[in-house]
Order: sequence, then C-alpha cells, then structure tokens
Amino acid sequence: MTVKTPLLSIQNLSVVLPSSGDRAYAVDRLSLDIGENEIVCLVGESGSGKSMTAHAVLGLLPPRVSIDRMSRIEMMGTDLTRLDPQAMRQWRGERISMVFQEPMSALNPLQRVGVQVAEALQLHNDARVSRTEIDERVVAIIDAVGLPSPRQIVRSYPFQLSGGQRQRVMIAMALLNNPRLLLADEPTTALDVTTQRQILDLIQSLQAQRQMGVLFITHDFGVVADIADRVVVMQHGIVVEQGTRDEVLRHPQHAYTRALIEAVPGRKARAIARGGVAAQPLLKIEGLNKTFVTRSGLFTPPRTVVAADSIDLSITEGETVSVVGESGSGKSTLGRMVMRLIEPDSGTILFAGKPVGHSVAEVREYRRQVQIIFQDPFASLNPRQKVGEAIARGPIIFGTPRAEALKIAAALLDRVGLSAAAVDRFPHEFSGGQRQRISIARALALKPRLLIADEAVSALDVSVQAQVLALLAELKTEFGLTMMFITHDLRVAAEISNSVVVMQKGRIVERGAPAKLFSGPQHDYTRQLLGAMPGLDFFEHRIAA
Amino acid sequence: MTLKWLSVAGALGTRIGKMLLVVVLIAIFNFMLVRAAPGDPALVIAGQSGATDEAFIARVRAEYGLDKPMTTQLGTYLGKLVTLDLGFSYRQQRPVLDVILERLPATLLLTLTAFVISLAGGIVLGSLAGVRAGTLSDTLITLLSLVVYATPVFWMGLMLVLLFSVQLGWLPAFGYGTVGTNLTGMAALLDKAKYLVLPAITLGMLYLAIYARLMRSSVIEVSHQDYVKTARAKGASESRILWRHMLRNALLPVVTMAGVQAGTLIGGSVVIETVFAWPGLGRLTYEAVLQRDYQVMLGVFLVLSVLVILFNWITDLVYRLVDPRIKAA
Amino acid sequence: MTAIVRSFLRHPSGMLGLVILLLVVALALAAPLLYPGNPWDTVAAPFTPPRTDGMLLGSDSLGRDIAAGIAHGTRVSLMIGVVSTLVALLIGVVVGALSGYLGGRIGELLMRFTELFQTIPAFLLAILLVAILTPSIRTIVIAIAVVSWPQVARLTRGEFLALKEREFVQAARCQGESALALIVRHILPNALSPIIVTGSLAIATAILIESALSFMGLGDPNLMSWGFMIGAARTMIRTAWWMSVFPGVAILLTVLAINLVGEGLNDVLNPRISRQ
Repeated sequence: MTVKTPLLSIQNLSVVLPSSGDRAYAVDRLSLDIGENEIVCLVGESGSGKSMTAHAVLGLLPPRVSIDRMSRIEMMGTDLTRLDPQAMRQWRGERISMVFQEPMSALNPLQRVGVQVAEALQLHNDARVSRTEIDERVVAIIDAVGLPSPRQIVRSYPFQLSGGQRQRVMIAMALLNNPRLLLADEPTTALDVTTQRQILDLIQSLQAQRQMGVLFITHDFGVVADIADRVVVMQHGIVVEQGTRDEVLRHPQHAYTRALIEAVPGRKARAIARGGVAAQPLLKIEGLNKTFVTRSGLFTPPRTVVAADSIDLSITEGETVSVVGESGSGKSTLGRMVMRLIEPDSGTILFAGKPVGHSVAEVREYRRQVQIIFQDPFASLNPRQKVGEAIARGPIIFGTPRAEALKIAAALLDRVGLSAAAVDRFPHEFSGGQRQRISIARALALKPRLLIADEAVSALDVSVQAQVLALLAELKTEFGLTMMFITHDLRVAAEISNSVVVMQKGRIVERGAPAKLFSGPQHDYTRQLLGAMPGLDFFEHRIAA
Repeated sequence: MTLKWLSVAGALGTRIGKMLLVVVLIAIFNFMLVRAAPGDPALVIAGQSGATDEAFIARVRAEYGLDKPMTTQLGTYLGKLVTLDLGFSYRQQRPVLDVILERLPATLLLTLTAFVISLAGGIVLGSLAGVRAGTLSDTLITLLSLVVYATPVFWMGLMLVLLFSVQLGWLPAFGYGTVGTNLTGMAALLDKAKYLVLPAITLGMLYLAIYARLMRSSVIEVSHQDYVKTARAKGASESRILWRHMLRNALLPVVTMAGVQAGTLIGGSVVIETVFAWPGLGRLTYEAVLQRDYQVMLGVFLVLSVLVILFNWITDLVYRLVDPRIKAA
Repeated sequence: MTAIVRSFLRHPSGMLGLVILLLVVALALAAPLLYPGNPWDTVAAPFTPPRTDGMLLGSDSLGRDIAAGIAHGTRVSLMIGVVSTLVALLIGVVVGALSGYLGGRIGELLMRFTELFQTIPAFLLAILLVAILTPSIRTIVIAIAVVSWPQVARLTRGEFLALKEREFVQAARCQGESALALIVRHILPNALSPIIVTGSLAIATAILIESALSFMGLGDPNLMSWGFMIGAARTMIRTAWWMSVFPGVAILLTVLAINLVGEGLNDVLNPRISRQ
C-alpha cells in the first residue's frame, strides 16, 4: 500500500504563551497531517488551541506568542517554521490561504470589496498580469463563490453586504491564487443556520473541484459529521484523538470525544410529556404587532423593520415551547414583549386568563410570575454587585426580609450547582457557564410560573451548554415551571420542547410537536431550517411524541 | 434619481438650517448676557469709553430700544444682526463689523497655519509612536506629548520667545511684519513668515500633542483589527498594511477630534495673539477686555462662533469623504 | 476597592503624578507657614535675581517674593480647579444622566443643548462671562464650570444610553426595581469610572483656563495667582526671565501631575489592550 506524502505535516507543534498567562502552552506537542485532497476537521471548545494551530501554520500568531524550536511544519518540502518573513509572505495567500470567523471585521470597512479581493492577486503578481486581466479574474472568482451580480459586488463596500455574502467574498479572496491548502477558522460560527449550510456546501464543492487540502476548525460535531474526511479532537492544547470521520464518530476512544459527541443537542429527548391539559392557557398572545422605525434624515425614507406581525400564540401550563428563528425573525423581540420590557404596537397578552395592565403596580405583579434569562452571560450580571445580592434583590423588593432573602439566594446557588459560599463573590470570578447558572438562580428567586430563556445557552461551549440544558430540565420539573425557550438552533429545540414554533421575519410560519415537525414539515422555511441543521444525516434524533 | 437629489438637497437644507439656528441661539445668548451684567444695559453696550458720553448713551438707548419690552428689544437686536450691524465701538469710533473684518485675515492666517502644523505633525508623530509602540521612539513621543499637553499655551509662547528671540536672536519676538519697511512680493511673504513662525508653532504645539496621542492610540487599536490580519494572511508586507489598511482607518477619530477642537484652537489664538502682539481677532478681544468695549467683545464672539460652526461643517464633510459608511444624511 | 488601590500603586506614571501632586498639595497647605504674610507685600528690591538676598526665586517688578507668590498661588489654583470641576460635574452628570436615561425627545433636546455649548469657543465664552460679570473668584468658577460641563454631560449620556440597554439592567427591571433604584444601584456605579477620569482631567483643564484668564488680566484682583504673575512678567521677559519662568513651571508640574494621575486612574479602572 503506497503511502502518499501529506500536503501539510505538523510535527510536535508547541505554541508558547507569555509567562503572565494561565498556562504555558496554547498548543502542546500537536502532530497532524493533511492530505492533498481532503477535509480535516479540527474540533475543540474555547481554549483548546485549535485556532492557534491554524495561525501558527501561517506565522500569524499574536505578538509575544511564539512557536517552540522543536516544532516543524512541513509543506512541499519546506519547513514553514524556519522561513524568514519575506519568504513567508510568498506562501501566504498563494500556496496557503486562510478564512476567518467574523466576516464583518475581517474586511476593511473603508475599501471596496473588489479592491480587497484584487489585492490578493496583486501581492503575488510580479507584474505579469495586466490590470484588466486582474479585474476579470476577480469578477470570475466572485461569480464562482455563488454571488449574483459580481460586477456590482465588486464595487460594493463591506457594510453593504450581508454576513453570508461577506464570507463568500473572503473565500473568493482566499482562493484567487489557487492555493493548495485552505485554513478555515470557524468560518460559519458567526452566521445564521441557513447561511451556514450554504457556506459549508460551497466550501465542500470548491474543495472537490480544486482538490485542495482543507483544515476546517469548528466546535460543532454536527458540522464535523457533515463535511469531515478526518477528525482531530483537541482539549487544552493537546490532541486527544484523531482518525477518520466514521472511526471517531461511531467509535470514539477518548472520554472527552465521547462527551463532545454526547453534547450535540437533539440526540437525547429531555422534553417531559405534558401531564393533563389545563382549562386555559397560562400565556395567550393575540394579534401582537411591533414595527421598529428608524429615521435618519428629514427627507430620507425611514427604515422599517417588522419584528412582529399578527402573532398568535398560546402556552399551556407545564409546557416547554421553543421559539425558533434566525436573526431578524423577531423571536427575541417576542420574548421581551412577553416580559413587558418592550411595548407592542397593538395586540393583547393574557396571563392566566387576565390581560396584563399598564400601571406600575400591575406590571410589577406580573413580573413576579414571569422571569427571563438572557443570552450573554457576561452582560447579564452587574459587575459591581455581589452574586448573592443580585439574586436576593427580587424577593427583597417584593417584601421578603433581607436575611431570609439571602438564605433563599444561598439555597438557590447550591441548587444550580455552585457552592452557597458564592453569595459573597463577584461575577468576574465565575466562568460563562457558571454565570448562566447564577442568572437562572436569580430568575427562580421570585418563584415564577413562566420562565423565558432568550438564547440562554447560545453563548456557551457545547459541553457546558449540555449541562445547563440538563439543569433547566431538572428545575422545570422540580419547580413546576412553564418555559418559553428562544433559540436559533433547531436541535436544541428538539431536545427540550413539547412544541416548536418557527418564526420568520416577524411571523409564525409553523407550529407543532418536534416529532411531527421533523418528519413532515409543512412550510418551506421549516424545511429549509431542517435541511440546514448540521449533522442531520449522521445523528439520529429521538424525540418524544 | 430625483429622490436622491431631493434627499441630498434636503440634508443640505437641514444642515444649513441647523447652523443658522445655532447662530441665532448664540445671538440670543449674547443678548441675555448683556442684560445679565450688573448695571444699566445701556452702559454695558456703550462700553467703558462710551459710558462717559451722555449723548452716546442716549443714542444707544434709542437705537436698541432699551426702554421697550424685552421681546421688542430682542427683535431689534436680531434685526440688526441680519443686516450685519454688530454695533458701534465708541472707543474705536468705528462700526464693530469694520474693526472685526480688518483683523480677521490675521487670525485666519495664524489659526490655519497652526491647524495644518498640528494636524500634519500630530498624524506623523502619532503614527510613528503607534507603529513602534513600546520602543524608545514611542516613549519619547508620548512623554513629549504629555509635557506639551500640560503646558499653558501662553507660557510656552513666552518661553519660546525667551529662547529664540532673546537668547538666540533668530526670530522676532512679536509683531506682524517688520515695521517701517515697504516690502513686496516674495520678500514680503518671507518677512511675514518670520513673524508667523513662533506664534503658529506655539499655538500648534498643544494640538499637535493632542492629535499625536489620539493617532497613536488609534493606530494601536486598528492594528488589532481582523482586517489587518486578513491583509497579512494574503501576504502583504508590513509597510503595505500600514499605508493601505491602517492609516486611513486610524485617521477617522482624528478627523472627528479636529472638528471638536476647532473651538479650542480659536480660543487659544486669543492668548497667543496677546503674547505675540499679533493683530488678529484674539488680540482685539484682549484690547476690548482691557477697554471694557463690550460691543466688540460680543461681536468677536459671534463671528468666531460662526467660524467654528463653518469649520465643524467642513470637518464633517471631510469625514464623509473618508468614511463611505456615512451617507449624506 | 482595595484591588483598585493596589493596581494604582503599581502604575509607574500614575504614582509619579500622585507624588508630585501630593507635594503640590503640601505646598498649598504649608504656604502660610513657609511664607507668612501677604504675597502682595514688597519684601525686597525689585528685580532681584534668584538666589540673591535670600530670595530663592527672585523678586518681581515691585519687589514681591516670587516664591511666596507661587506658594500662595498653589492654593488659588487648586481651589478654583477643584470647585469649578465639582460644579461642572454636578451639572454635567445630571444633564447627561437625564438625557441618556430618558432618551426620546427630551433626551435629544438635552443633547442638542449640550452640543450648542460645545460649538461656542470655550475660552472666549469664559472671557466673555468673566468680563461682563466682572472678575472675581465666583465669576471665574462659574465661567469655568459653564465651559466644562458639556464634555461631562456628553460622556455621561453615552454611558447611560449604553448601560440602560445592558442585560443586567433589564434583569433588574424584571426583578421589580424602580427607575431610581436602577439608576443609583446599577447604572451609576458602572458609569462612574469614566466620569471620575474625566473629572480628574477636568481639574487640570480648569487650572489652565484660570491661569489663562489671570494672564489676560481677568483674574480676581485680590488673588495672587500663577497666571497673573506670568502676565505681569510679560513685558519684562528680557530683563527678568525668572518672573515668568517659575510660575509657568509651577503650572506645568501641577497640570502634568494631575494628568498623570488621571491617566493612571483610567488605566486601572478601564483596562484595555490598547495600552500595550
């Protein structure tokens, strides 16, 4: 059996961090190979060192971070770690290209897109190709990445394009010089689910067309299932497992790999079957409308965004309803309107059969019974307020004596998996996952009947996300909560809800039990969302009826 | 197509309208200030010299309608402004407008020169410091900026006079040109330039320090942006990245700041013109303060405010040219 | 709190500024002890050069002790600087907080009002105010406060606008906190850091404005201030350089010290990458 020399061979890579950091190495003796015509997925959570690995290949490490002398990165007979800066510049953008995570910030906001793409060619041109030919090739590559009206795109500025379009431009820029190797650092993480699917398909087809080697970095095993030929799993800078896609996914050897695969949402059913049907819905929304209008000038037409268009929704007590949609669907606005943080333009919200009034006292009484958990764990807690104080404030405002409220806070902290001693600590002493637990404790302190989770797990690492979802499921049964779970991830919705509501551009397009939705979606958009789910084919989804 | 023209015209009209509104508000402020001063407004308007002339006071009272109700007075005052009547300076025995117009060119020359020096110097030094952050040149530039920023502008002028004029004798200590000579053409220009150097540098130094520090932090901030990494990943050299990607983006906050600092720059010219006996509006203000010639003071105030407003507009336009994200609205 | 103090103690330029500032404050407090009597008194022959006849820094055109003038001037500068800044902070924070928290039309209106003040050339306005209202310590403080508050208001408004929408403020609303409690418990403590930094830098600016006003002859006629001393020295720069140099150095050191402390505070309270 002939063994082909790999396109890229990383041997014993160690990336040294400055001494003030919390660990010595970002990457610790990593070895991996990438073949000439394959996609290798590098998987890990935040802090695993996966991004550093890719940056090290192109010598793009941040200042004060360096590659250890014992490392070797070999491609086409050259050791990239030993190249001088000028030689390295020849390789960048020509033989190896890189695509980054945030398309908005990765493009120069003050330059037209075409100029930036053309630069990739000009930097490696040696004045052999004429201006007109450069322009033609730019238009051609922009067309090849699936952007309509390439000539118009060429003349546009980045802010005039959508996230998906910008990422396609980045890919075009990377492929212009026909590189042998493409490094993709979480290129789809910042994109909507449907856009993510398009970009993944694009990268796959381009890779097949050009027979490139691709190093694709991701944290989502669903994505790995979809596109990887081989998989490398990293944790704390070390490779814990590698192998072909099927090997790793079907027979994971290492405990961490197993945990990551388990953590992919939607594989376990946590939704508890509804027991009994209540006489009337706990929450009933009728004909809710909300339009945001921004005026920028006296004579320019104002921009209108329809966040809610005749929304009708009812939630029965004990249910978990997921509201699923992409950015701009209005799902977050809906949550805030239910919470009375934003006032709707028209429509009614009935709680336990009675409309919620407008007086300060009525709203306060309502807020006792409905609480919310937000998405960003770092912005959800007042950095200058002790954690125990933050939780106890709710009960104190509603009349509980201070000492007792603090005891409640301590008990809740214990219940959510943090020690009661956390009461006296400040938010910055906790990790993202721990802060979300604190937010949950804060929400539960008032013993609400309805809990709204606004993308409460979206900002968390996959394994932490799974833990928090499990916690929420436990608490729901224990406290008898009704939940409205807002998310962009259908898999999460499938895992925890009795009923899924799909929203698009302010309208509810479909509603149903997860099993029904998954097996027979009625609306086009639902079908689109389902098709875009990463790992759909590979992972089974067991959903309770 | 016509809609686009309408919106541009509309934006322009709104902008001019806003500027006029500000001018009117400043005029009203002037009006109220005079009335807020202790004593008889007629005496205030007449000024210290004019207050000795009974006939003049009577004329002032009649012209400004000081015995009529406030609203009529305001109307009279605003009406006068529309016809560009800024009052009459008893001390100088001339209309205030004439006095101001006579001194305006000198101030414009000084402030514009100082502005160019400060902006150009600040951008260059700031970029240097930012690109070489942490090195000796950065530390020196930052240190120098800090010291200059803390130095009172009038004192710096005196110190520069002490050094360059008294000790070294290279440059004249004050004035607008060599007295008693009748130079023309190039010789006249060079002569004027000799007298311009110290005042312009003194005035410009403070703002140079401000722009340098701002440019430095802006350059450092831009260097951390993702698009710089993208350019590097394409294989661009560090100098290309600096010139093509970093500088233009780093300039944006500096342009904004230049607009904001317009007012302080013009305010600083008051002190500088006093120190260097530069015959501009600033020195006029100083003289008017000494002579308690309030009409002149108020007139200068109004004119300089209009200058600042115009200047803000220009910097705004420049900003829009540099940043395509802001459209004419 | 202690963590902040400790970080500041390790900040080199901030500590340098603090040391100089403490020396300045000490001088202000010790002035009547070191130089008893009135700094306006003639105590020596006019134009005595420094380090002659017991005059450390020389004497001026009327035989007044320059060193005494500088020592007493310290009290004037510090007092005017601090008081006018406090007034400016009071006005600015209130206007900015209202504008930021209320938002909408009222907020916009307050913002436009603030912007109007920023359009007017600040120093000119100060001159105008002091001249028309006749120079005294009260009018100087008023003039400096009037000229300085817009910057504070703008900053405060920005902070309030941003913090108002932050999730932890929204969460507190959901807990039932009243509007006042939201501002006092949640928004203000988090907006305080930049306000403190702006305030400390404003003291430095106030001292510079006061000295410029005194230089132009618009200072309080009863107070010997640094600016006045430089103004009196202007015409004698060729013959008695010490009259203008020393008071200027005093201003420079004081303002520099305050700026260093302010920037040190900024680095400690709002750590950012750009510092590197």
